[in-house]
Amino acid sequence: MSAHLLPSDLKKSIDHAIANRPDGTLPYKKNTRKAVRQRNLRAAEWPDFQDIRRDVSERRQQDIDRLEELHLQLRENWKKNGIEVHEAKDALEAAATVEAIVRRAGADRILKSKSMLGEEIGLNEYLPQKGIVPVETDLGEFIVQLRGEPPSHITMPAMHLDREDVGRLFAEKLGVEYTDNPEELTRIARKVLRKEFLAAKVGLCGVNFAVAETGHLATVTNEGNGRMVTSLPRVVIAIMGWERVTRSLSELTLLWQMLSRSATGQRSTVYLNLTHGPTSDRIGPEEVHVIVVDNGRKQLWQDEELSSVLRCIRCGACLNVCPVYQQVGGHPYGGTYPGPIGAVLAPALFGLETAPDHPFASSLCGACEEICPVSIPLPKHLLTLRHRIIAMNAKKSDSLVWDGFSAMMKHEEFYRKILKGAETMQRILPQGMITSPAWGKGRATPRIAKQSFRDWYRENRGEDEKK
Amino acid sequence: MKNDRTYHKLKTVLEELDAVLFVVSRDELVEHLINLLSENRTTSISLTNESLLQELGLSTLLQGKINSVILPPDPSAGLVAAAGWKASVAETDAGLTSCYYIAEETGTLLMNTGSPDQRMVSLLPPWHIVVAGENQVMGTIQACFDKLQEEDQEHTNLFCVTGPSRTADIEKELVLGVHGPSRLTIYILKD
Repeated sequence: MSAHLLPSDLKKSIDHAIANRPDGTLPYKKNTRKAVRQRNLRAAEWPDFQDIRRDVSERRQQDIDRLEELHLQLRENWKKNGIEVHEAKDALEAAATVEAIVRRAGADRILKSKSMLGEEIGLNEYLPQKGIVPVETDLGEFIVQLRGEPPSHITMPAMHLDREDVGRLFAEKLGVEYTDNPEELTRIARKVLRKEFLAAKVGLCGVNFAVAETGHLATVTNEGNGRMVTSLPRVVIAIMGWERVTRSLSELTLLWQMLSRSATGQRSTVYLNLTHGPTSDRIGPEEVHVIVVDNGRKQLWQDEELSSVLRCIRCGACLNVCPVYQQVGGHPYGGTYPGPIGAVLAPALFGLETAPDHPFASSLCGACEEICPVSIPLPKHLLTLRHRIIAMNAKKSDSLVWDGFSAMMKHEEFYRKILKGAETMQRILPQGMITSPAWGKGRATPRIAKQSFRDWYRENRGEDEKK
Repeated sequence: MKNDRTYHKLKTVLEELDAVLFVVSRDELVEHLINLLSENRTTSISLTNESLLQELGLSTLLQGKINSVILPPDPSAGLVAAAGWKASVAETDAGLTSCYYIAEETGTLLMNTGSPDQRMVSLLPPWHIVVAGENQVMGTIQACFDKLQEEDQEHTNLFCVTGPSRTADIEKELVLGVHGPSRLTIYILKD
């Protein structure tokens, strides 16, 4: 599952990305700027945007606080609506559940609409090992799947590529004549995938929100592939993160509009698909499964300092404004979630040791928090994680040094002996040996005086004092 | 009073989305629609069984003018008939449906897959044509959903459509009609 292995050395992967950047304007820079401009235009349309944002943030937090209760309501409704519910505690369990459902349906192919959770649980690596072909149907995901690489952005998977890259890819992998016209390239993908849709036995979609009050599974798309994979196949699988619950349809409409405006600068996405359950009309799906994936979320929910990150609605706006992301794009981050939200989610969900450098890949400029539609205090979370990582990495030798320092400062006799000893050592050893390697670079260590002030005073003025 | 509504805002919003709005009377609809279809050399169309379309007698009226008019299978028809119908809907030039409600602010259609034929007819053909009454026009998306819940109609598969299918996945350049329809035309029938 290489796609969600995080780089062991983020600094190196970022250095590598910078050294190998394409000439001319960076695609990530160009595309993120365009996205931010469009988002700002839509935000300005609502004169009270900041009030709405505050309100949505508060209400989203209330939903997060009530997650256990909302899940009970949701499960009752799912049962009533005929949805089959599966729980997965980690990535492997989730992927294995998908595999089992596909096998039971007698299929060896699965049509996927875009899902970041699908990336997180490594479906595209897991399923082929089990002889099942996952077919990505979102155009951007289709492109990166053909290239055998993970998406580089939460909402714009192929934003690191230009039209010529896509043209060459299609010519090579699909055997079509080369074109770099986006419209023609889109037609080619439509044709290839339309055949797949009509023949599909099993479809898989992500869930942007599950609605507790009615049990609807809401999936947002622009291309229509989300509707295809939930309408045409006989069996539909929806995978959702445990935190993706909202209380009501009315709450959903607000979140959806915030998501649309923040992600792509649309008033609303083209499609919002609300799956209620299986149908007996022989036209809609006969089986609907939902897989609720924990994978670190429940533990994060208990973490008072960081749990507000579960408010995230995956719009990707924080990536678009991040000065680090704009320079290197998404791939150097490794893992599923890049940018500021990824720098928090990766260590918070999967453990500090999996992404020890990520919280440091930020200038803490605060642009991410400012644009976040649900006001997640990302810089604060990055700092919290930095503290934890430093505490985790604190070496034994560090604490020995500090224990020694503390003993020295507490005992006068000991202190004087150490100082005397250091002065002698400094004279005997070559210069630069007693100094901190990082700090001492280019700096001369000041000489310790041969005689301490105390000794000098005793010798020269001690007599006066006695008088 | 409603007859004076110009739907100027809705028209502008839909234009921005590359969708088209016509406001016509019930009497004008059929002629307008047939002209539009023939201008576009439409030779096949699929229709849903929705009550408004039946009330307007559209299937009969179109049958004389369009080569091939595809109607949903009988509810008692088997899986094979349903699959055959899906395949022929996918081959038609246009799909004609109604909707629950339209939101003026965003140009969003709230639709019902509880009427299962709507799900396919609005999705598979490259052109989606919608016919709705004035009483189906609401201010906002929120208002559409509120109304739906007031009428206790929310317990079914639902979907919203805002403009034709689109992508900007290649260099953020807009392309219409990726998987869904590339054209969306909406008729509002004046009271």
